[in-house]
Amino acid sequence: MAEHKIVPPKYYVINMGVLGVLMLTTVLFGKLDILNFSNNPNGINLAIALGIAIAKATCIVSIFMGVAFATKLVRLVALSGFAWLIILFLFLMTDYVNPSADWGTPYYDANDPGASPLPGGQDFPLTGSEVQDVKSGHEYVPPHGGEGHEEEERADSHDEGAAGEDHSEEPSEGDH
Amino acid sequence: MSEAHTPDVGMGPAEPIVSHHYRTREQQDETALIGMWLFLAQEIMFFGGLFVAYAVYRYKYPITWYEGSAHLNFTLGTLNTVVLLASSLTMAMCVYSTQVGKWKQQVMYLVSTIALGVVFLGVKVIEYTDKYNHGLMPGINWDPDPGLFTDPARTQLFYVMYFIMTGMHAFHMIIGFGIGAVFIYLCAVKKEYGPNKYLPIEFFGFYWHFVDIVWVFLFPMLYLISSP
Repeated sequence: MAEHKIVPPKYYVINMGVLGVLMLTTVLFGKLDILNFSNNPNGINLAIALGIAIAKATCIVSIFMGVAFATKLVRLVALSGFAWLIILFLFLMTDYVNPSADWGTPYYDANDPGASPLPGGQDFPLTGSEVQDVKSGHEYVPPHGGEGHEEEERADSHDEGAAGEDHSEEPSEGDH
Repeated sequence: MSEAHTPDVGMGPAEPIVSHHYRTREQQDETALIGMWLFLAQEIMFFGGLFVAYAVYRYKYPITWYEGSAHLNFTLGTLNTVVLLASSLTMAMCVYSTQVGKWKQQVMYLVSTIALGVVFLGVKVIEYTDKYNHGLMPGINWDPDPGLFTDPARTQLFYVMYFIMTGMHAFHMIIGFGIGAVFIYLCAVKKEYGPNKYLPIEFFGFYWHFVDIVWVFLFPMLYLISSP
């Protein structure tokens, strides 16, 4: 088994110099915007900033924390934590970075409180009487825009007869 | 890579202490290193959750994040980053001084590390006070100037993330101060650590470097979103 190595100070000083250069690069790209990448806050600026941050973290982990001079087993354990973080980011962001992502937060427009961007006009997540409908087994009928919320409001206690009439037994207009 | 310096007298035990269930000192040291990295892995999980929450909301509200970041003090953030990187250097030098048995340097670098950390927290206090005075502290004093933000309600979310992430980072720094104070006593007074016993110092260094790494990611993600 390899002896625990003592890293000479010159490695630390050189590493500090590299970190300083990366720090300067971060500031120049991020704030001074020397290459005029600021049009999209989530675009190339973000990629450059994160890339430089990963480079700095690599310098700190490998030299200051001595992973570059450690045994393979220690290196594997050290990298496993960061690998987990990458997996977390990748799999979580795939849930959100796609057109059909369901953000699960109620939509609210201060200028039009009754509006909803979702088809059927329902608010997500289910609220109030809609939750009771689902729990009781009755078919859930989304309200129409802002008006539906007033029609669907009911008392706290269940009324199965009234619920059956409202949702499943009332003939539709097309049957006449 | 070993140094030829004669260790200072009285620094740590005269011989390395190897527990009976280890074959060699190297095996003992490697085991301890793995244990420390497993601790750091759970710290990665802790901060990873915060970073992922940040990423999700930044993706959803990019303009809000842009506006919120524009009112953070970029100069103080840069100063904090430089201070913390310097403290990582002094911490690494402290570990080296312990490994080669230089007592005065060991204590000096350890004190310097903690002092730089105190500078970092002092700057953080200035930033937080400034945010409070301008009504940008959610839950305590959220009263931004009218017209400052396009959507004050969602910008409040940015500041919630800012205070939680930097607050947890500062909390970890404070924990580091406590541990560092104990180590200063053990090194300066007790001369507990030396060439035959330096892993505790090295592991405190790991903790400090990890806190530095977290700030290395926090700085660009919070302070460098907007440009002039």
